[in-house]
Amino acid sequence: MCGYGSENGESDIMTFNMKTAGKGFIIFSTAALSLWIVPWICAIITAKPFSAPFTMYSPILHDFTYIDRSGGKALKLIDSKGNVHGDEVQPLFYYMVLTGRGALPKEIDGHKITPELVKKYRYSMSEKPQYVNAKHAPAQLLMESVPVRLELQDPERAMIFHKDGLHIYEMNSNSEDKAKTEAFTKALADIGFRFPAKLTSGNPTHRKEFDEGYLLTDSAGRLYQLKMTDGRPEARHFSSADGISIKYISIVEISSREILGYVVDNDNVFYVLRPSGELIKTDAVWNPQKENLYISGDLLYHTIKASDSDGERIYALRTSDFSFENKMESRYDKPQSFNICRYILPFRLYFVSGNDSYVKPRVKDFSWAGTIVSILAITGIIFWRRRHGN
Amino acid sequence: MKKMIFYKEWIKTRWYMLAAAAVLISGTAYILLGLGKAAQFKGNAFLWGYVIAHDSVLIEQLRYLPFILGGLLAVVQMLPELAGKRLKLTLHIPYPQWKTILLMCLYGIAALSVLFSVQAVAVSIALNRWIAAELVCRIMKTAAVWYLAGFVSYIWSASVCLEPSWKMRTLLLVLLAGMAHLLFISPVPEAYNGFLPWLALYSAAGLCMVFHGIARFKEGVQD
Repeated sequence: MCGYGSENGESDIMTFNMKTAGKGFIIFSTAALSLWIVPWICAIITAKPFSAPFTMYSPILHDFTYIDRSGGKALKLIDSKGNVHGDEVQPLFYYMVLTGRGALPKEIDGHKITPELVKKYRYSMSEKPQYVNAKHAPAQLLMESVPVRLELQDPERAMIFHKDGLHIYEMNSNSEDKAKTEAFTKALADIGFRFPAKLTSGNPTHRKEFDEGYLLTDSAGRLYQLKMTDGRPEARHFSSADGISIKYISIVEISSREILGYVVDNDNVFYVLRPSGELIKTDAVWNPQKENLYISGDLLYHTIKASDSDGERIYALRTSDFSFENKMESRYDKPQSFNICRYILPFRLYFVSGNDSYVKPRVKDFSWAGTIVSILAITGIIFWRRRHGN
Repeated sequence: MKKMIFYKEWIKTRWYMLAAAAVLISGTAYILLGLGKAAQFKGNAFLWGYVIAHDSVLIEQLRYLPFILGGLLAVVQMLPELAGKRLKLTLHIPYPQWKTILLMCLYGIAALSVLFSVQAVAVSIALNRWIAAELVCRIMKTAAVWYLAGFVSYIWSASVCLEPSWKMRTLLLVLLAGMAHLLFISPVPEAYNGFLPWLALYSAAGLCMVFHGIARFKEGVQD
């Protein structure tokens, strides 16, 4: 002590306690920072490039093919047996190139093929768990599905679900449109909708051919569709989905108009919803909370790829009835790098994940070797400090 | 004695507080005027669309301001204590030392609270003119972590200033950098919702680092 006299013993005790608490806090924070930053730096230093090949189902080979980019500029498609093909085995994907070469087949498996038909059915979509597991805005933009001037316009209204109903706002005046609120709430309530909505999926942009509004589930988990036509609500309930525990929905607005949306239940089973209301259970399985999804659809087949950091499952379904055609499953053969952190740290602490959009503490890569080394290191430090008087 | 300590802190920081208020007001006014112009020229629907479809919180440009203001307040408030051995005098006033230091820190926290509250209320009122209350609530929930970053910056910087040895100061600066990285690691709206109360508790516990520095100062720790 260098002469900073306290007024009483209580102050000294408090200062001592605070010093001890401060020391503990700094040690805890330093340990947490090490468990977080050191593995992160190691990962950056030792990371090796890896990308999964783009795979699609070939209607010519009736097999999956992936693009091999290792051979320079020439496009090579490799099938599951390792045979090398050109772009003619994917005529519905490279239809523009093949049309230009005059090599687009007139018919595949009895189906007539024209560039117009191929274009009409061709689409792709993707989904990431980071988007699925996120806190979305509590409002949705509401478009006019039958615009007066035929082309879709930017939304002028937005909707917000409350327990007491659906509130429609006129965005430019930032005021509630009471008449529409009443009409939309009544339209949904009349078909048994229980407020508020649990899941909603829409694509409110004018950069599409037509608008199907929103697919939504009510608080009881039943499936509905809601859109605004001529300023009036158009709501329908899909009884075909009753009894299914829905955990994911996605509206689909593609030129062929043969699909209205995708639905996934709590068992990760993938369903296709037809505009007629028919719900088709497929053999595809996708966990929206943990896996990426990529769908590539064409006139004849849908290739559905569910993947995570460890591997992928790819399904080929027939576009006509979404029946099972083929499946391929593979684990990624990632280049392994030496992970020194596994030998010096007991586990890895991290705060953000590719599987959601939240910041929270998470732990992974527990290591016994790292635990033992850490305990030995801490014991050594304590022993050394005691021997050296501090 | 409490009033005297607060008065002493006020004397030290009044010009800085004035400058901080001016920066906060002008920064906030600049952003809000920009949003007002966007609403005027493109319609409120533009702002609604930005919040809903682009996951924007409209006031992203303000995110680092509380952090900077908090850190500077700690420097302005605590550095004079080290200059001219004033900290020795502060610790000799007839009042428990830990209460003196705590009151000094509470002054800073209260001053920042006033600044941040005024800004949050002004932003909320302005945004309410253009977008629904539910969306304003989402924006302010997102901004909550920026304000917490302001308090973290203040507490960590104060502990750095009051720490007598450079070795420990360096460690505290590394911890501050780590905290800053954590608090700004995600720009996604409401990403911190569940974690924020725990972060706030941890940050409040960070006050004990200030006492740790004071205790080391009293022990005569030097480089």
